[in-house]
Amino acid sequence: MSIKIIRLAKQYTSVQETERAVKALHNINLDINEGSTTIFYGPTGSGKTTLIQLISGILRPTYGEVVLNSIHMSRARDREITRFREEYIGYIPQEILLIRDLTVLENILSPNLFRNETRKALKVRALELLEELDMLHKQNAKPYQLSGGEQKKVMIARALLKEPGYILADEPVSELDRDSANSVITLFSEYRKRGSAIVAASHKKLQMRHRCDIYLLYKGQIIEYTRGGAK
Amino acid sequence: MLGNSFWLAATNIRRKKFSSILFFVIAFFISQSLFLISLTRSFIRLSDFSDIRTFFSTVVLSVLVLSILLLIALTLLHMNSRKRELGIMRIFGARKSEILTVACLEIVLLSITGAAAGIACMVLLIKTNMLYLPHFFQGMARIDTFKLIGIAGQTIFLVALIEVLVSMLLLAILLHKDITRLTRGSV
Repeated sequence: MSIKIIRLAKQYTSVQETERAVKALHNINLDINEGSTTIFYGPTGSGKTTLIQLISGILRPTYGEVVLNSIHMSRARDREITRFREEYIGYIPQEILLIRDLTVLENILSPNLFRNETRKALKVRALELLEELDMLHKQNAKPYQLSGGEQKKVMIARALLKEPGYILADEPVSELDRDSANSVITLFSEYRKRGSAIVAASHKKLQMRHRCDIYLLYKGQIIEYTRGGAK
Repeated sequence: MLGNSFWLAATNIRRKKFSSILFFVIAFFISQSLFLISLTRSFIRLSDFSDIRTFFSTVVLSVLVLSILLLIALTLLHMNSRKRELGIMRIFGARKSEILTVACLEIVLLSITGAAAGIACMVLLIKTNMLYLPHFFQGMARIDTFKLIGIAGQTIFLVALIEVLVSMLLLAILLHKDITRLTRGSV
């Protein structure tokens, strides 16, 4: 399992035709392997979210290629990308994407129900995840009854439920307090040990407990690469 | 897994009470119109009654057409309010076919119960003579129970088919939009 990003560029066409198209990403080349941790840092508007959405197959590249295992994203059919996302990708979006009138537990379960697993087994795992994130007492609450940080934790649990090969996290800890952020990082480390690759985007420093590849993004380009986080 | 899809469909019906009731009510009225059309076709054969049959069919058909138009409007509103959650389901790996299956199950459950209730109500009205048209429903007595059940079953199937076709067509059009556009939809 690997992700290859080759000369990737993404342009957003502007709403008004008189304006220029926005270049969100430009000439990105990367390799992300099984069990690795990759972090994108950068200020707001540097293209972190776009890059994560391109890797997850939510967006399609304008130029270049994202190759997930052997699927070429620019040419793949929608069905193939969805199947890949269902099987391998646990996506944690930056914005709050929860279904308003489902409970926390139902929100975690509902997108994962189409896999070949019984609801009972999924529920057991969901409750374990909620316990690790200190959210067990909120399992029957509705998303609007939760704080921003708690909503983020629900989205993290939803993404991790299927034990994905790739965890794509967009600002996973930016709204969390220090304890919650630590428990999320611990969870990520556990998943990494089991073989998941972690790809995170953040404008804040992430205190990873293992080796990771750090890329600094600025105006849609990688301007610096370092290795860090090893202890 | 079909069991999980059933659970999700039941959850959706429970939480979207308002639109679920409307789908039920529309099935209720469509079934009554269709049931009356089928009934009159099966027992009025005499030429004496041809004028009244034409008049009656016109009224019932216009109710049917209005109900279907109402169904289309309701489905559009219903789907628009669910745009964002469809996007969420798609982002996290639900395929279009799986989303359509769950929506189809919801509509089938609501339309079957709605149609059954509509037909039961119509039979009750006719049997108790509350809905009484001279000479017209006397023929009811001549229809045996098996045939009546057959007509009812046929009507329920037709109602479910109409509701499923309309809603699936509109949902398929909506799902054709890309995911980022769906998630920006109204909450």
